[in-house]
Order: sequence, then structure tokens, then C-alpha cells
Amino acid sequence: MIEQERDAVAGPGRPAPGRKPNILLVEDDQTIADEVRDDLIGRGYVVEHIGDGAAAMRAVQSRHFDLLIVDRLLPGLDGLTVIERARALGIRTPVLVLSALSAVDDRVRGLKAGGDDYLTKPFAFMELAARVEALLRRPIDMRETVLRIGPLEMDLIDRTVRRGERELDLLPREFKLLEYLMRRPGQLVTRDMLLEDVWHYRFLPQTNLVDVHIGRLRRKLDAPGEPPLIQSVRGAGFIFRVPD
Amino acid sequence: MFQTEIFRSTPFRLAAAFAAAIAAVTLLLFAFIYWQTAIFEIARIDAFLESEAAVIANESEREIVHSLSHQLAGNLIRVSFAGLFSSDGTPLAGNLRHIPVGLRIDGLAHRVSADGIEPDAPGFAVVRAVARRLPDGKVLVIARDIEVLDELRAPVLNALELGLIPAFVLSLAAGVLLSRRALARVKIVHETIERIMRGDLHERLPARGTRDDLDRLAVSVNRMLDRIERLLHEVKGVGDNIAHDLRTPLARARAKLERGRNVATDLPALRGVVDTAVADLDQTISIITALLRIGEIETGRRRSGFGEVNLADIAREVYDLYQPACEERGLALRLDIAEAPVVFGDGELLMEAIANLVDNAVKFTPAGGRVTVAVGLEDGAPALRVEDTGPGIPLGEREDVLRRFYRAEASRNTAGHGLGLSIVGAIVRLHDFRLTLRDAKDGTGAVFVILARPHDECPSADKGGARVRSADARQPAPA
Repeated sequence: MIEQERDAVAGPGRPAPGRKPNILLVEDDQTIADEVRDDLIGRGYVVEHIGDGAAAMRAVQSRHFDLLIVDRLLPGLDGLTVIERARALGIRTPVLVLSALSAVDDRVRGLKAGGDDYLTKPFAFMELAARVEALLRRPIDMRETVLRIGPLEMDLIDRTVRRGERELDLLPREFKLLEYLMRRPGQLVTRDMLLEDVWHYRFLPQTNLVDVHIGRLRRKLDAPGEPPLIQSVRGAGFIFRVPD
Repeated sequence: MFQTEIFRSTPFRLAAAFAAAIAAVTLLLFAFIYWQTAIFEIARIDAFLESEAAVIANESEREIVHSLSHQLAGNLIRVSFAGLFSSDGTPLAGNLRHIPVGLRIDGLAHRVSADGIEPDAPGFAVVRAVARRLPDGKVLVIARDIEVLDELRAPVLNALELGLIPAFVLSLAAGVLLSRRALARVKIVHETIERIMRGDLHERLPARGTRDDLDRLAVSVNRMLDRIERLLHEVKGVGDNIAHDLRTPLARARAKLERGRNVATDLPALRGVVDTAVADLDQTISIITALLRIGEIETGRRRSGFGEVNLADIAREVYDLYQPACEERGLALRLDIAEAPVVFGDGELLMEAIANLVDNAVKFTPAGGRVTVAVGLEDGAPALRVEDTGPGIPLGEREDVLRRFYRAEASRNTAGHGLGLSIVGAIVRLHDFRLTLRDAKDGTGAVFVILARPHDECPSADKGGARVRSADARQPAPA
């Protein structure tokens, strides 16, 4: 589902203010490529589109990109081969693999070849935008033992969370969920990302499980009168954001 | 073509081998009989000759000459040659020209050749002969033609001919006959299979009810054909159903878009129309994704992700994921762990299966109801049960519900792909587990049970005896 807030300067799924990130889109289906490019350009990215693997390989070797979006099946040089060769050349650019194949094996192969994330066609543009944003802004360093975002303080060793002076009583699953959000402040996080990364679910339940979990976490997070820290983005997901 | 086929057919080959074996055994038997009889006959002749020679030797010379002529005249069959010779070997009486060459004069019978005087004696002959030296130095020889043994051979060979040749011919003929019949049936089977391959799936191989091997084979093949026909029919039905299920949301989306284009007057109204159309398309996509997922699980036979999986751990995770959603809907989700059996399987897939069962139960149980996830042992086999207090599944639909790609009538118009149970079925089949549907002990709800194989029954599992451990704590039901 497409939800655009055209007026917002840094809406969900948009790059952080500053230099416009440079994305190479390798996709042989012209229609999908056009739609994806226009959507990403609309969100504030610079997008270059290439239709075949060999040309993509030449582009990757000659120029710098902040992100590669590579279709799994390409004429000539296969998408996974492009990724493998790029990695072999020492190119560390994050890669999002697109594929019409949903097979678990295929996903594993995509990630093994050097992809950083994997998205199955057809996808919602919001989902793509969220994944792109997540890959461009790496989560906050994993080595820290205490996360401090705004009024929130999370101790990863004692497994305690405080909002200001108030200690929050979180269940283990709520703690995990909040940690995931706190490491990605200001970023759009979709339901699929949460299911995959927090619960390690690779399939889509038919019940709105994620919303309920977020709802419970919200109630514990925000005491009456306190500004909400988790915002919903209709039809897309959630953003953890500290109000100014 | 058909003629040479007979000689290559299995029944004919067996018959020919059988006939050859009969011939060999009969020949050996007859040879043995002949051999034994000849030995017996020669021993008899020898004994007669030796005793006769001893008797004659005790007589006077005149008596001997008389005896010789008497013996020869009256007993030519028993003694065919006789002669009295002087010590230097000159014939004195009888029908022998000389003492047979090489005959030892020891009163015992030997095999030599005799030279008889015609017409009293039959000329040269192979004989058994006894020579005895008389007290006055003369030599007495009596002999018997053993060509009589040839006469013995004749009836033996005759019997052999009469017995063996018909037996051999008969078994070959039986072989040809049997092969013809077998080939005729094989030919019918071939023709039937040809027709089936051309697409006439209703054809069946002829079975005559004789329960012989060909008949039993035909019955098995027919059962296989029944099953294939049923499966093809099912697949066709499934294909039709899927096409129908996909067409419904697509038709809705199309109608909404077309009407929206004509009716919507401003951008927000058009956006609203597009949003609902996208939702319909999403449902179409989710049906396709679920179908692909089932196909992937079923055809992949991917067991590389298999390992030790604790059913209780998975149940807890599913409980954890679904508990808030249940509470939100006014449902009590209970976790009942009696045992914590370890099974051999793919943890991710098993979690997907259990989650689908719970998802299903949550969807069909009205508020105020209860959904229970229970892990335990049933007859020693690890079992996972998902019970609900919903309306249950009518008896008539139960078998269908567990069938591949079945979408319950009720789910056609609710959200989601309605293929959750098919996914569960595919995962259970991949694991070689069993999925059953039972009556709730109290009330009307549905009870789905996954019966797993105990971990130590699996070939690749390490040998550790019974792998069933008791869970340390029984999780209390939430309020």
C-alpha cells in the first residue's frame, strides 16, 4: 500500500537530510524499474537504472554507489553472480536482493552470495523504501551496553529500561522489540522487518500480531501525559522517534 | 516376430530348462541302472563259469570231452565256448582254435577275446573265460560270450527312448503353450497401457480373478491407476478452485477501479478506491504466495535444515507471539506443557505449522472462547495439540480440511489466503509426522493434533535412548 506524505521534509522511508544517497537499480523489467526509480527519486534518492548484469558489473567497478538493488534473475549475468563478483572485488556496498522467487533456499542463497537483505516480488513500495533506509543507515553500534535515546535508557546487561525516573516493567519479548526500535531511531520499520528480525518468522501470519505487540509496548512506554515515542505509519509500519 | 517372442518369453525358457534337466536326470538314472545291471550280470556269469570249470576239471578226460560237447550242445547260451588243450596249447576238443590270448590259467574268470571254430562257435567274440589246468597238465577253458549284455542294452535304450523323448517334447510343448498364453496376456496389458498412455485413463488392466502372479500384478497396477486418476481429478479440481479463488478478489479490484474512475470526483475519494483495490490485489498475492509456499515445501523435500527441535520451546514461542493478540480479541490462550519432547525436524517450518494452527483457531473462535496449545506424549509419540472452543468443523468437512489445497467454504470470504491448513499439511508430510482432527472433549471446538516421530526413531539422530525429557514446570494458564 502506498502512503506518501509529500509535504513532509523527512517523511517515512526518506533519507536523512544532507547529501542525496546514490542508488544503483539493476532490474530487467522496465515497468517495475520505472516505478521503483520514480518512487525512490520521489523520496529523495538519486537512482541510476541498468537492465543487465554485465553493464551493472562495469558500473559498480567504475563508480561509487551507496546502495545496490539487484534483481535475482537478469539476462546474461545472473544477479547473484553480480553480487558475488562485486564482493570478490572488495566492494562492500550494501545490497538489497529482489526476487520473484519466494523459496527459502533462494533467500538463503541470496544472502549467502553477499546480499544484505532480500525482498520478494511483488512488494509494497513502502516496504522497499523501509529496507533501503535500513540498509543506508546502519543500526546503532551493537557493542554499546547502554542505549540512550531521548528520555529512554536501556541497559542491555541488566535488561532494564527507564523512561526518565520511571522504571519500565517489560516482558522479554517487549524488551527485544524496544531494543530493535531504539537501534533504529527515526527510521521506518515495517511489520515484516519486525517479524523477520525480532521473532525470526519468515512467513506472514494472517492476524495483526505485530500491531498488538506494539500496542502493548506503547502502553508501558508512555505514561499518561507523556509524548508517544512509537508512531504508526498507516499501511506501512512504525517509527521510533523522540519528539523535539 | 511373435514366434521368436515365444522363445524369449520367461515361461518358455523355464520349460526348456526344465526339459533339459529332466533329460539329464533320466539319462543319468538309466546309465546307472544299466551299469549296475551289467556288473550284476557279469558277476553271475563269472560265478557260473568258475563253478562249472571246477566241476568239469574233476572229471576224467573222456567225461570232460563228453561234458564239453554236452555243454556246448545243450547250453550254448550259458557256455558259448569250451575247449580242452594239451599242455603245449594244442586243441584236443571243443570249439576254440587256441587258448585265448592273455588268459591266465588260474580258475578265475577274465575278460578276453575268443577265436571260435565255425559253425559250432560264433567266431571272434569278447568273452568271460575261465582256464583251469588239469592234474595231467592239460588246460580246460570255458567261456561265455558277453555280447548278451548288448541284448540287455537294447531294452534299456528302448525304455529310455519311450520315456525320455516324450517327456522332453511334452515339457517343451507345455512351455510353448504357457508362453503363448502368457504372451497373449502380456500383449493385452501392453495394448491397455498404450491406450492409457494415449490419455484413456479409465482403462484398467484385465484381471481374471485367478490370483496368479500376473493377475496380482494387474490388480496392483489397477490400484495405482485408480490413485493416479483420483489425484489427477483432485489436481484438476484444485486448479479450478484456485482459479476461482483468484478471480474473485481480482474481479472485486477491477470493479472498484472501474467504478472509482467513473464516480470519484476528487483525489481523496480516488485514493480510497485505489486503497481498497490494492487490498484485494494483496489478497490475490497472498493466495499465490501460500500456494507457492506449499509447492516449495512439498517438492523441495528440503531436509537439510533438520535438527533437534524441542516441541515445547516452539509452543512457547508461538504462545509468546499470539498471546497479546488473543487477549485483545477476548480469547484466553493457554499453554499446557506436560512433556518437552525433542523431535527431529526443521524448527522454522514446525513453528510455521503450529503458528498456522493457532492462527486458524484464533480466527474461528468467538470472543470469550479459549485456545489451548498443548505439548505432551500420546502412546510414546510426541504430540502437539491445538484446541479451540469455536464452532468446530462439521464431520462431513473434516477429511477435506486436511486435504491438499483445500479452502473451507467459510474462509472464502474472510481475509487471508485460507490455505493455512494446507501449509500445515505440507510441513507435516515433509516431516513424516501425522496431522489428525479430533472431537473436542467438551464443547464443539476443533482439535488439531500433530503426532511426531520420537526423536530416537529417526535414522540420523544420535543414539541416546529415549530422548523425552520432562519439562520442569507446567505453565499456568493465563487469566
